[in-house]
Amino acid sequence: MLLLSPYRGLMANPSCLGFYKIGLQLVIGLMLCASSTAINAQRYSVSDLPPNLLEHAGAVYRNHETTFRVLSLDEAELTTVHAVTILNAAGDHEATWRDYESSFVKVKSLEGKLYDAKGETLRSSKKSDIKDYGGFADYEFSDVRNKILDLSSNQYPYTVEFKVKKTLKGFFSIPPFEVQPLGVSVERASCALIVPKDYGFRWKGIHTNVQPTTAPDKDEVVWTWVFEQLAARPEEPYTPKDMDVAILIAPNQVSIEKHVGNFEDWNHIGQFFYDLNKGRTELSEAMKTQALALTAQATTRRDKIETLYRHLQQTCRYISIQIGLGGWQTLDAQFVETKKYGDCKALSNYMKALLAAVNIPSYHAVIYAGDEGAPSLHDDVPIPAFNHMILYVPDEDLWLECTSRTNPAGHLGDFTSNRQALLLTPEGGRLVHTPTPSPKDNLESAHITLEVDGEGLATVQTQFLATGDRHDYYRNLNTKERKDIEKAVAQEVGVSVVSFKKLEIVASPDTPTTVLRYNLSTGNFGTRSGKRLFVPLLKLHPFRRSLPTDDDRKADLVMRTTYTYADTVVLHFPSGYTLESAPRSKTIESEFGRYELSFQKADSFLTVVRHFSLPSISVPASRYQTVRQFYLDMAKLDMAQAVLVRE
Amino acid sequence: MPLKTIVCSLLLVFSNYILAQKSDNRYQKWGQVSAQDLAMTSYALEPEAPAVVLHDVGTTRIDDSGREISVVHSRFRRFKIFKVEAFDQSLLSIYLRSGRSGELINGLQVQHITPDGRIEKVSTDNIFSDKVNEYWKVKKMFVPNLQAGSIVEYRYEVTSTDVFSLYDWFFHDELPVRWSEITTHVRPSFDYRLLIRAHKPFDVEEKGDGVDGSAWIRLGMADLYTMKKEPFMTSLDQYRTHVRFQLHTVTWPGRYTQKVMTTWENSARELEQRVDFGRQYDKGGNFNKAWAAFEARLAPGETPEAVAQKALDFVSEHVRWDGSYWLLSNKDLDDAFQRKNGSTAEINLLLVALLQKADLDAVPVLVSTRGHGVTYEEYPFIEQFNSVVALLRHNDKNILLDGSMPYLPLNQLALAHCNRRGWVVDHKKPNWIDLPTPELNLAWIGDAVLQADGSALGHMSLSSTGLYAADWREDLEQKSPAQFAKAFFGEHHPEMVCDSAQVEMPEGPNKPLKVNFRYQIPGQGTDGTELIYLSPIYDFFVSENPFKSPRRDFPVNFTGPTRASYVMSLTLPEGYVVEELPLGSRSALPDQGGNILFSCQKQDDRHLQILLKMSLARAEYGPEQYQTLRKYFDLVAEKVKFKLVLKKV
Repeated sequence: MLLLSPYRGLMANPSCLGFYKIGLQLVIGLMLCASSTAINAQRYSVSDLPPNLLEHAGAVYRNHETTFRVLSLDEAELTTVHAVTILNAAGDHEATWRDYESSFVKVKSLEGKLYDAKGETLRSSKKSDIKDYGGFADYEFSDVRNKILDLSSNQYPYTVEFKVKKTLKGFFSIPPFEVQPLGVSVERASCALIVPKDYGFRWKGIHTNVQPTTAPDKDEVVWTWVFEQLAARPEEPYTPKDMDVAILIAPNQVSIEKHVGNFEDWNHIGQFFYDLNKGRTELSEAMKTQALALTAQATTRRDKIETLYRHLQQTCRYISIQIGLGGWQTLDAQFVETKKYGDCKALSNYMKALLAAVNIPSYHAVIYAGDEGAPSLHDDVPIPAFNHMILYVPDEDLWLECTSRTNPAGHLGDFTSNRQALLLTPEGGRLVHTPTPSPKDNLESAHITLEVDGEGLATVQTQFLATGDRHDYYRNLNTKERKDIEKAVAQEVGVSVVSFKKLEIVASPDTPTTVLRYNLSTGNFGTRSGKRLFVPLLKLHPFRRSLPTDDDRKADLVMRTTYTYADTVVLHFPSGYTLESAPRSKTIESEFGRYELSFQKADSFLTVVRHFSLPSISVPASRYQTVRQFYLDMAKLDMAQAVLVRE
Repeated sequence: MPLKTIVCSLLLVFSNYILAQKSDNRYQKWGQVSAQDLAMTSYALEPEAPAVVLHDVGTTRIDDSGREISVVHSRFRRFKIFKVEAFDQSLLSIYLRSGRSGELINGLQVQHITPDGRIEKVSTDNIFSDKVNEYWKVKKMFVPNLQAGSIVEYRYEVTSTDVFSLYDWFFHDELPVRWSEITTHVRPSFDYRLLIRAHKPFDVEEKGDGVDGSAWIRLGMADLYTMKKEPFMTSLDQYRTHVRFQLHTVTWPGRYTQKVMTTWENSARELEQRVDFGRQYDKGGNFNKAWAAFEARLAPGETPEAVAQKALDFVSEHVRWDGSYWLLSNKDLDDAFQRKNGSTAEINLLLVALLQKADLDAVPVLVSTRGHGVTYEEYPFIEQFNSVVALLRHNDKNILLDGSMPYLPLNQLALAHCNRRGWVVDHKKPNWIDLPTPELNLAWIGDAVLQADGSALGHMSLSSTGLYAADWREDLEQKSPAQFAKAFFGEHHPEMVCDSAQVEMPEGPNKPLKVNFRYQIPGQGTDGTELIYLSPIYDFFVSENPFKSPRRDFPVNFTGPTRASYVMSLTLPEGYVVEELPLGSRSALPDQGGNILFSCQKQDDRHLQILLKMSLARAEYGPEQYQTLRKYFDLVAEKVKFKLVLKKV
């Protein structure tokens, strides 16, 4: 299923948000960290690796040394030596070093070496091997440039060694030390943090109890964490976020382009971003008047918000221009007012200004967007790992996604719902949880009338209601041309459509609800076999969730998505046919959901009613098989067919 | 919509000496918008289109006034937005070549005509220049204040020194186009070949002489429908109406005429002498390290086929394809060998180099990949190609080699390279050869002992050849044979268990790769009656009709002719008989386009044999065949889903 909301693609690119740049791209960069010169080639021989490091591993971090040296509040150096043995194709991505440069980060040197299985050097990288990419998408412009060094080879196992040196001028987080991702074992890793004596910071180990050693020098203190012989944990579907072994570092104070901030807690961090973005909501007098005029007819506060939000959606579009501090600081409201475009910060800020013009207060909220959820935020080591901005209206407890041209007011979708966001208020930052949908919020309900003829061809009449996170796809589809809608719906319905007699989508302007209605005729639907006709009953709206076999699940099982199906299918028999067999009604009760399927027979038709509700799931690995079996049982019942026989 | 290719010489066209004036102007001037266009709320020919290109006008001329001859191409494009969904169309980007033979852009102007007719010039603070990579740069234009009803127009001039092929002009766009035209002015000293690929005659086709002695041709077409990519398509460019100008001869005033695009022989010779092509694999090329390692594998008296196979194995073992298609190789072949990865050019030129050094007659073959588009066999210009494969010639026999995909047998090319015909780089004997169409062969042969609860226990042998086999082998590097069997055969049977899985590697080049295993598929249980309903075709080429949509605008491309067969011997559960034996059937696509054969035969009271075969004889089926093709797959799907009804005795 193509479940893409219109704004989703826009936000995925790391360059579109400064928060992302500082907060997370370094994290990503560090996963592939890098290594030291004086190491003897034999060091990387593969035959020496103990067998326990080979299990579940696509790659082995042979030696991973990261040193982050804080020179002053706004200056730092990052050096990395990273040697990785690639065992098989699953580890190939570890053979590529992905880095970036911006106004704040420079890659001073990036070198790589390739070794064979015996640890003999095959080649050293040249400067021209480093690929330099910029440009990104047509709707964005930024000063970020990607630096990529690919050393992958065809002969497994092989080893690559990267040596990287970067300088930071202005930063508000220290990249976490990424010790071990899933699917990778670690022979040796060490992370060093070198800070001035008076430098304050907090740290926390994630999935590790390793304690640092400290070595005070004259002016500096060196903190070192060392890891050895970590066996790989397998990559598995539906694992919790934050599975990587890491050391998080949170500085107490930051400075970027002369903006100094106290980063001791979320309240202060929020204050810093609030201050960076405040005073940018001034609109022209004409625009203020227009905002008042637009909302003159609105009777309630909610009406006013919806009117202005719709105005924003209809007049503005997402274009991201982020240069320097523009990654974290919004453009003025008047910029958007005149140009009618902006990125998530600029559009949220413009919306804030419009609301302010009609005396409705609102707050910027920074958040980590993505349909897979967000990494955890820690109170004891607060790190602003955000990549997106939305707007919150406290008086209505309402969230606004300002980069969407189609969302009804208040609908976030799985892009930003159900996670923590940092509200930026004049009193500082406040962590709040965005709305968490219940299974009944995300509904798919089909009423299908199915008429099959003796050849197995069918005509179908359907009314299909989708709400919440299940509706975005159809709302977006509705903006397309008819022929594209036809193609998409035919794909959704999953049968070969001969023709559409009727096809319409009605998207509610105020609620996250769409109704899709279609009448169509199909090619082969029922299967003839002599005097019998086999008709699948739930094929037009099948249950699609499944889990792969896994007898040795390691990680907890976390499935965020929650939804409800409520369907009625009425099958009319072709004349001369009677029902020979239909499955019996059945209910499966489980803590992971309830599935109910019932059949009601009449002379010339059969009514099938199916209802199930799936809550989100978070259980230990030992329950994996139980959840899998539940889905298998559901899928099996979903295969229900009617057997009709010619008299 | 058949596309026709026309090739003609501009000079020949002009020799008719028609004095013509540019006739009816089909577009309005910069800043002038008609009341109708301003009021237009949808485009009549495609009323649902979110926007329309009102006009797209290009002019190309050669400027030989300066020290260096340059090509100047100007463009003036205007579109109208009807719906906000089209806002993305206004995120305008102009991509330009950078580097040594880079392009310069001049005089970029953008303006927005608001729905009420006001003209808003788009200032430069909305225009951004960016470097994409070492080959490309881009101008991004973010037009402010766009609304439904907005008209945007922009114009610019680009200059390049590439006189050999002028700017290609594509008439189709991702939006409907009301008017598109290209005018090309050439100096008499430059003779260009005009290559036209068009789906209908031009609406304007004019030519004439200019006052300064140059000649011009103007080609225009109205009402072009939207072109968007669909699944099962190769390249959109193959279907767009398009003209291209390729330099044929240059006459230096008072001196001589130089044939630029003379013969295939000369093109081949030129390539052979290029530092970044022929010099890489000839005697002077630096591939000593690769040769040293390869030579160690050779034994005296081996047949050319055996050496070719060894070379192919050697190269695909040592150099991994980096995902790029290139025609030329700037670096030494040893560089790729040591780097352990390389482009198609590096990999396949290395194959040529090793084979030549082993005293075999090997040459490169230039190809245009499936995504790159069609070739013009009429005229020798190498820009039409974008990749290379290798050819070994031995006694009138041609053996093609492609090291960009591991495990490909001799005479099979990676999918992208299977694009009709390729051109042999050999100045003594340049020629076009047919590239192999990959044959896609899959077979399922097995047995099953059925139980009264509908479950099945049996053996299965999956087999494939050619491209599929290569694909399977790559997959089998990651997965155990049992995992492979579960993922492939068990795709629709999540509860299937399998054991004793093993792989039979092919011994000869055309022998199939086999995966054999024992499986058990649980039944659905019985419904308490005396009947059991079974679906004994557990897996096949398709499990349902892949063509769901009632419409199709472009040909369906299957990569290659396809054959699939499923043979299953069934043993019925004790105490059951077949209630009704399904009838066998045989059907065919028109023009020998393909067949379906199905039979279900009783061997004795407890044994049945099921056979399902399908074949598609062609790689590509036109949109006019779509409905037939859909019916064909409907029939295949019906057979795959067929039910066997057993009755208790």
